[in-house]
Amino acid sequence: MDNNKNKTVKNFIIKVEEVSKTFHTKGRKPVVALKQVTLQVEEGEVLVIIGPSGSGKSTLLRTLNGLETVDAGHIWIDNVDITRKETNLNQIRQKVGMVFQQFNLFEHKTALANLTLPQTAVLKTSSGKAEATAMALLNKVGLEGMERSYPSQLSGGQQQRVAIARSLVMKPQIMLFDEVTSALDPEAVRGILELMESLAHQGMTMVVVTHEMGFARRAGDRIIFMDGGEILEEGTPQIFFDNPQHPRAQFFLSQVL
Amino acid sequence: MNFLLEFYNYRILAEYIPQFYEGLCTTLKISFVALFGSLAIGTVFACLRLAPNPILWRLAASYVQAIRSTPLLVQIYIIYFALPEIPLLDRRLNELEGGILALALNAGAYMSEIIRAGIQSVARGQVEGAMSLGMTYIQRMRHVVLPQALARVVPPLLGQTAILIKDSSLVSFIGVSELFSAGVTVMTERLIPTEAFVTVALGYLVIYLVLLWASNWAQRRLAGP
Amino acid sequence: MSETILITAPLLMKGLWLTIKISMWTVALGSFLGFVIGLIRASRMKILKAALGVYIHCLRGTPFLVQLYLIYFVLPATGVEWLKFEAFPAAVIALSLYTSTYVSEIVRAGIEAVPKGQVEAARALGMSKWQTLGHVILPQALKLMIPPMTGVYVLIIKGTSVVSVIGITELLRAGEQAALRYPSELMTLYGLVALLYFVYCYPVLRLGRWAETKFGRIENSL
Ligand SMILES: Nc1ncnc2c1ncn2[C@@H]1O[C@H](COP(=O)(O)OP(=O)(O)O)[C@@H](O)[C@H]1O
Ligand SMILES: [Mg+2]
Repeated sequence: MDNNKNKTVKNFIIKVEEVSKTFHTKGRKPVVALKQVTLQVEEGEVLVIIGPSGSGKSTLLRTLNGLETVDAGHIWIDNVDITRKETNLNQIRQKVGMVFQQFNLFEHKTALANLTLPQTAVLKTSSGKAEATAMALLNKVGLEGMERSYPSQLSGGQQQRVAIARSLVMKPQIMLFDEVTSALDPEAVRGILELMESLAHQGMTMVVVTHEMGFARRAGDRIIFMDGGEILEEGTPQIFFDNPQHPRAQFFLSQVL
Repeated sequence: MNFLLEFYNYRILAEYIPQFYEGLCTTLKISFVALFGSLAIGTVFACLRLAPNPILWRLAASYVQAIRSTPLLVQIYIIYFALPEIPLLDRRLNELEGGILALALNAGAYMSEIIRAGIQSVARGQVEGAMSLGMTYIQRMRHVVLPQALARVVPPLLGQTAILIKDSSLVSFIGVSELFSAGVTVMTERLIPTEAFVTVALGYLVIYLVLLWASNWAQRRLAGP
Repeated sequence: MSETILITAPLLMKGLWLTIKISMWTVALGSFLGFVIGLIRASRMKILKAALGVYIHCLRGTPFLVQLYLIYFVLPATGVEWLKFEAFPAAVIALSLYTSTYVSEIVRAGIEAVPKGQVEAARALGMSKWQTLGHVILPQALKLMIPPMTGVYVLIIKGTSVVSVIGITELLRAGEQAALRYPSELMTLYGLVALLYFVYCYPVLRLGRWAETKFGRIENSL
């Protein structure tokens, strides 16, 4: 992966160029969440973002599907500049799936309906077809027989499986994961990580924010270390974990490993 | 039986059944029209309150504050006595129209607060979940936010409706003959305040109990899993 | 216009003063009554609790106007001497009973919002029921009660306008009398009355909002 520089622009499905973002909250000091961040992701690559809490990982991830706007810089998804006003973000978001720490399943809908709604509403799929797709995906993530359950009737791990399946129904080209195992008990964490690894093996382009260093080492093609809104270090898992260069990366790893 | 007659003379009261019935009908009619008006006003102002434009939401907030910090009776008087001719109507509002308008404007402010709270109670994550799937604003509202908000909003809206019906008794002050005025008629004509007002109270109590039952039912039905 | 205001000002001020007097009496009496009822409602006295539940529903289920008439016209008709009230005490009593239902539900909700573990911890330390209530539950519950209580006080102030009907010349009735004298200035006079109510109520509403951001809110369905 070291030969990234030699590749042409076309091969990068995600390109982030000098993106900055500052949060202004009334009555508080402005928070600089991103400082001129630049990065690229190849098709099929698994990029893992790590760093201490508050370092801007979520903000970076959320700019990739336009949930967060940027103050400066550009982001291209599949060669479309999503920071331009004219870009239809809803179309981009169909290509970029996102899984959240708190699942964000629709509380008033069953597991099945959580998967059929985006198909019928956004993709205009017929309800019969949507249901077949949904059932197949629910089975694939290991939730046979749970279709009729509401989110509140499912365990955290089960809810997260539904959430991943819900993103997959849109047939996205890219998947974003924001600390998707942080709200789960250890037993469930393992299952979700396995599910993500199998997705990675199937060639899905993934950007993963996580504190699971084992997963980062096993499944990541490339690691990015962030602190204070900046990318401080970047490299393959092997190089990064075995020989971190930046003092703050060294300190962070000494804390979490 | 004689003892009962002394306390509650239902024989005299029986003569006034038509008045009470008509009063009850008027009360229900006024409340019904005012309810729809207030729901419309409440929805519009709730949306304005949530609008990103500061002028719009300040306007809506001022309206709610003005209504909440003045008595309904004063609002009724201002709308009925002080409002000049209505341009399109070419006349002033009559007591029924004035009363209904005042009730709707008043309840609308409270309804808007309930509706706004309902919309805001839908967690931010629900909207982000919908956004991440590429749903448009309309789709998010229709499929995600409103269904969840509605479930939380119906019971308090029914409670506010009960208050609206009780408040409608105040339009008797500007001469609308509704349930309360029927009681006043009986008292002044036959000098039996007990029968007159215990009956009126029972009438309102029955309406209240029906709404209370409906609210509990809705709470159970809409609570979800 | 300004002339009318000057001439009617003493009348309106007297009305406002009476409105303030009625509302203050009611705040005191209604809060006390509601507090006692709320304590019982949060307790384990089954029969008393149920009876007070009926009391609350009866008062919540009927217009205040009807309650006022029941107290001012119907109670004297029973012939019992001490149930004959002058207009002013009748107004304060009716308003206080009406308010007590709101206060009691706030008190109950506030007490119930204090986590059970707090009570268990206090009892485990050997505190008596009353000590637990006084030292552990109420200090925590009272803070939660402040925001909704301000709402009740605004309700009382607005409620005083209704007692004009039994002949008390409070602010609204003073405004009516002024309007009778100067019919051409009706809009101005009623506008002025509304403004005076607003000036009285608005700070209380703001206080409630401030307390809500400071102490949080309890679910309190009416
Ligand atoms: N919506 C927001 N409003 C204000 N500040 C925010 C917001 N979102 C994030 N921040 C701030 O931006 C910084 C980066 O946050 P975040 O990207 O969530 O960090 P991470 O995901 O690495 O923990 C933090 O200081 C956080 O407090
Ligand atoms: Mg984060």
